[in-house]
Amino acid sequence: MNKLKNTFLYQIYINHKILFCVVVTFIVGQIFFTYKGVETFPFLNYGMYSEYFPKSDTLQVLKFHRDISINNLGIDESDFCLFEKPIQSYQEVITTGDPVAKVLKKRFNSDTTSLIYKYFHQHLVNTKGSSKFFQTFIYKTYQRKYKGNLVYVTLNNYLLSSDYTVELINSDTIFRY
Amino acid sequence: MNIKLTKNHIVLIFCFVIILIKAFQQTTFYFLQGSSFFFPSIDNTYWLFFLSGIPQFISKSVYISIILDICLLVLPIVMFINENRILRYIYLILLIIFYLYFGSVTFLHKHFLTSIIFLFIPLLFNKSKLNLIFWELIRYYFLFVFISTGLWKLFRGSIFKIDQFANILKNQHCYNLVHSPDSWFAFVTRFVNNYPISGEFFYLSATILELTFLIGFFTKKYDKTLVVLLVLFGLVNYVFMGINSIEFIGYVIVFIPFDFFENKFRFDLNLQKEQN
Repeated sequence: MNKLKNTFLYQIYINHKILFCVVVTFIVGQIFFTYKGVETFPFLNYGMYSEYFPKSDTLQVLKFHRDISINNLGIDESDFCLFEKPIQSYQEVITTGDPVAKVLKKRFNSDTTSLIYKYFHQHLVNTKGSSKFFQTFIYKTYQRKYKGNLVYVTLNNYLLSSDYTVELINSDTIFRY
Repeated sequence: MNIKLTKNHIVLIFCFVIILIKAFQQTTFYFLQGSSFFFPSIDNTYWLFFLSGIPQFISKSVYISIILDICLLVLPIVMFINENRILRYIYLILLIIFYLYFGSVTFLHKHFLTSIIFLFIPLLFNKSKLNLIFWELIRYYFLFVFISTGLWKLFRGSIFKIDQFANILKNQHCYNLVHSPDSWFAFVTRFVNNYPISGEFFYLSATILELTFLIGFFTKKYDKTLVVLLVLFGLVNYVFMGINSIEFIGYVIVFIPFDFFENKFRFDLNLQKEQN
């Protein structure tokens, strides 16, 4: 019992009852969301490359074709945040549909006629209209960062051989300006 | 006016530096404005954020995004001199909006970036006992974060897969393998894939390092060692993975004794006046 009284949590309980409730709520919330396997800020799961990465011999790489030259993206964080991750996620949404739309449908038990559902859908799900804005956004961002006019963007798949040479398998055009 | 440099001031400097880096990387409000293609994922907080209409409003207005960027950069400087509590609440809200907006546009819910939010919370209770308590709470939270990264690796079983790190590197440095096969990152990827045991060694070492932080729950005696380990983690992360962990390394602030800076640095902004 004495050991328990020495804990920081007990000290908070003695001095600040409200803060104690806040801390306990946070701990319970964190445990709940970790158990559910979902994240709701500020209850985050810090996995940090803990999910298993299966062996793969194909590499997916974006290519930016501008005027006559090809610009290969750098490896800096900025390129990752501005181009790589958004365009790959965009491509996923375009080909397989917005995952948020599926979750929304599930949460509303497929009742897509209610006004609340429509409000949620309008605010959360990407539409074809937002897709056009996104293309323009990428164009402008690219122009600002690399001072060149984009003509088209492709997502290339390469086969990585055992001697680490790469061979182009296919190339999908994502945007054409 | 005398300013004693405290832990709280270090947080303000830290926030300023992080926002400045983001501005150089062109990932602040102004640069992310106009996308209109968002990714709230299934995070309920992101959903609330989008239902409020705030990101849509920011995305449509260049002027609003410029104003928000200026506030993000200028407010830490103002708060360095002025200890107005309302300003601090406003800034915390601004940081949360920035975090959510950044994650929605870049499609990257970057957990490292939460450090600017969590480290800022104690500043809301400046000069009170609560400030000290919140510093302790954030210290425990960070310990939990770091230990949980180790536990995830342990319970998901990834530390027992010998090719885990080799596959991570292949995924992480695919651009280098295709475009710059002579680069350092391509070399590391090839090496680790040729000798997966070396990758397993690094991955296992990282997991052990993360779990070492468990000791921080029981004693503060090894806090200096934990600081060194955290910086080492950040460096190795950069050298092998190419990941900039500066936001995460900012958590070293929680291990620094409260009066450490106070006793070492003092600023006098009005020297002339005092001399007179």
